Amino acid sequence: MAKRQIKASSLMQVLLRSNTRLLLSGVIAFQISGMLLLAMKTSPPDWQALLFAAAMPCASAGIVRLFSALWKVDRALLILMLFLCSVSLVTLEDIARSAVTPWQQATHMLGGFLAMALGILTVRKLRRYEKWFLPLSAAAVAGVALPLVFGQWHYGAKNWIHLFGGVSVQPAEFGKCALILLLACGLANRPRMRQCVVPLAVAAALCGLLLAERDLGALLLYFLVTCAAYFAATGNLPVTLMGLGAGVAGGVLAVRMFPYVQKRIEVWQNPWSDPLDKGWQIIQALIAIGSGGLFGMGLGLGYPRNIPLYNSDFIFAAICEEFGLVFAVGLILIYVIIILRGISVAMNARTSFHMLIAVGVVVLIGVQAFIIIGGNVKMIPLTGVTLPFVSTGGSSIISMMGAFGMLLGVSSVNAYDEAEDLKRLEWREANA
Amino acid sequence: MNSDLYTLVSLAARYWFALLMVVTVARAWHATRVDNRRARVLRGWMPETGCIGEFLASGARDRIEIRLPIPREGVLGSSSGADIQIRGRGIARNQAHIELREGGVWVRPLKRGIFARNGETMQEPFLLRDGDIFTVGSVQLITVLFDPAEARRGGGEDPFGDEERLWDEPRKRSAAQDPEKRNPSGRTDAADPFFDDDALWGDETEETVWQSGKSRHHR
Repeated sequence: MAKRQIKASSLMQVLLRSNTRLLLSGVIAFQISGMLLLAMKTSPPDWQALLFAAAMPCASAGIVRLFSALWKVDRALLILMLFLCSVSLVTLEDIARSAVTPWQQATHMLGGFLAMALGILTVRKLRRYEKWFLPLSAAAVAGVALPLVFGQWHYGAKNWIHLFGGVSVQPAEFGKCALILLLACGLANRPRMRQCVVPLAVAAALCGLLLAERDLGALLLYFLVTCAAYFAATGNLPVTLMGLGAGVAGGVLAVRMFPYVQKRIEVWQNPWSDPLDKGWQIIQALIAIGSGGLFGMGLGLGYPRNIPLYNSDFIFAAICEEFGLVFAVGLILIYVIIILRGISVAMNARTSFHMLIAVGVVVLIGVQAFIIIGGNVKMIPLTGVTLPFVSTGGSSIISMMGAFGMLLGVSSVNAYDEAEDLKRLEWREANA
Repeated sequence: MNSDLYTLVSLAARYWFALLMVVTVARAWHATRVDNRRARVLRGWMPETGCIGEFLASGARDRIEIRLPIPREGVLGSSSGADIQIRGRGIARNQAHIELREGGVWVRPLKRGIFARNGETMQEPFLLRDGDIFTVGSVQLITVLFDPAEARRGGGEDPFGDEERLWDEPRKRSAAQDPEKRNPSGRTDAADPFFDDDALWGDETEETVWQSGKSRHHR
């Protein structure tokens, strides 16, 4: 059958990108209305909330415009991430005990935008990526191992390092970005089995270090990201399933060998067996989620501070109480849409290196959101990971935005490649 | 604001926030569907999307029988999973790996066998050049690179280094032809009609952005 002849001009008619103005307007409307409502909660009005009501829309519009103009990133992805950040700031402005907490979160977000820009530039500029595998591996292993030597025990895990000035850092969070990059560097170009050994060994070493630090949440993330990257790189389903099976076996072994893991499973199975001690956290979270109903108790009218760690691990439960189930389900759908768009970015990537980066970031965001939301609603045992872009935590938000920047970088590379293809089509018509 | 009034306003605002969330999710879903359809249309109309050239496979009578797009990265061989699938006698399942890197298009033979370029048997990785004639098993391939300047030999121009150049016209093969006069779309600048940030806040609809043909993104 003869191929239909098409003109570039006709093709361009149908190739318009989606209009994201309404999406951005919705985000800005949420920011302004949320912060203005919180400002009216006290008398005189809370100047901090008023400042946020003015600054957040300007920052959002400016960032979308700047990143789109500089690097042609996926605007819808960027706006959805900004929406999640807005939910975080509005919620913290309402529920945080200290007025400093939302400021700290906003400051961390500003650092996160710099990390995002760095992530975009890294993906766009990185050329001889195979040469970066060893330095990245060394940096990742050294970074994740630091808490074992210099770290402090914090909520049952030794994964924090306290620096000068009261600043504390969680190296495992930044290790996620390094893991995604080193797996992309090591597994690109359809590696054979023996070429996969070294990257997988590095990932296994990182998992071993996290096990020693008892950071089970990060361990689970690292493991699943590695399995996903291996499968995306090789398409070898049997070996991937064997790896997952080994992970499950390791989990069963951990339950039998480590008492703290057994306790978490017991609390998850029946929190009411010890409601005033070990089960207190999950019970308060469930009560909060139930109290919210469909539309929530109202911004500023709930009692989320009854939930331990309400601003980090259980912020989803606090959101359910304040904003309701409709809003919470919408939040989950936002994550789903981010994952779907990320998968599209991965599928449209022109090289396996970029594809693996996109896959790694998407799996990281998706699995982390699933783990923490599942833990909040008692679907799975609770682990100490944060809700991406929403929970407090400087290391978490900066590293997650850096990883998101890598995803945006791949979308930017895709956009430039696509424009080049269209220009080439146009040129060929002109010279036919 | 007194507490009773705030309670009333906050209770009413619950529905507003739920509405905003529904609108945001709906709009985001719509945008995702539009962009996915866009990508599908592009792949359907331009099968060589993302390709840097093509191999012209000639048969027994030296006639061009088939055109094989060369992707930026892929495997050439006879297996069904190969990116450039060539079936014939003496062709291995994974014969060679092709990749566009800094300096040009590199070909790395994966299997020992009949893999000759311009009559010379190749065992080590080498740079692909426009016009190279390969013999892979019983099949002869002629190399056509869409933009040979991108694939200059060893230490040449980084195909991704100059982002400004990506928005320029591809280099012409014939100096006699003037693309500015023959461009059917009417656009002669380096503008991309799909990244019109001015339309973010302007009154123009999606349909008018690309029709205007104005240089809004000239860099």
